[in-house]
Amino acid sequence: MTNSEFLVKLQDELEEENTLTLDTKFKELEGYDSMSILSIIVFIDENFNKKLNTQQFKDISTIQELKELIGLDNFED
Amino acid sequence: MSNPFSLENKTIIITGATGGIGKSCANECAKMGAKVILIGRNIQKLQEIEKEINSEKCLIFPFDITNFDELENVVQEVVGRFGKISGFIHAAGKEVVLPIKNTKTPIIEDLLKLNTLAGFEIARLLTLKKFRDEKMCSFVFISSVMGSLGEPGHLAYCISKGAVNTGVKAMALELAKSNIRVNSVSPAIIQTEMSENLFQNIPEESKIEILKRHPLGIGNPEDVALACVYLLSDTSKYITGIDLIVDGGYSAL
Repeated sequence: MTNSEFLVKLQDELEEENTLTLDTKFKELEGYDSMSILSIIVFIDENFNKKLNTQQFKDISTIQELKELIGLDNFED
Repeated sequence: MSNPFSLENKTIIITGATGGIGKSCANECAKMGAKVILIGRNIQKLQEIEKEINSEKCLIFPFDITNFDELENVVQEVVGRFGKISGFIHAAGKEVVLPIKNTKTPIIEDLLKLNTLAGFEIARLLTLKKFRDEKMCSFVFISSVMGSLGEPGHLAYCISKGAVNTGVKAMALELAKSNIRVNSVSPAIIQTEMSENLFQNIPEESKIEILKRHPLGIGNPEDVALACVYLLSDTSKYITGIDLIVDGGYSAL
């Protein structure tokens, strides 16, 4: 998956109106709450076949860091 | 003095017997003198529990109870081997934590099958005279405080347990004349593998919030199992159609 595809899909998953970038911080998103983490976990499982748990989200704040958690080898760029 | 909670001469089927609460129910019922028939999917875990219990009083039956079409054969076989049934605990259950938008119908159906429908199907079979002790019979469904209270991320689980709570009442009314009592027991968070998985899969702030809502702290499986023993014993002969809440004060808040 490319970065831009990832960002568009994630934006869609989180139902965000504003365009996401790798520097976007989760906590700055308008509708972000504890349920959003569960939603992202399902999204990553479905798209990358990778199971994350909520504990792993304690130490990340940006989408770039989420990308690293997923594994950079899953991205084409 | 006789023990008011004695389960001597009773034969009790327990589903979900390898889970935290189911296993504890198996142990406590056996301690009270019951013969127990333990149903679960994992044969190794069933064998371990069988070792803990006097084997003469324990029959293990590895089976996936969501194979509804086979349940009558299973009940027939256990009755053939252990005699007519006087008690039933439906402790099989699982939980998923998902936002509403991810809780699609197949996820709800999956939980309903195990948490709800399998229990009612076994109970339905046990209403048949050929399978039950006609003097007195008691069915206990392990429900949850989430059967009557909401919790974010638990839509499917709440649906499955809410259906248990009302199904129990419908059964209780229809079966009273047949000397069958039907009740549910509703724990909040109990220290089990399932609750540990839950805590792994919910955000930290939700975990802290949940813990704060248990004035007596997190419960042990025995707290639930002993409530089941009470409902299975003749001491509770005047009690049917209730939801016995065992939640350390969770729902009093």
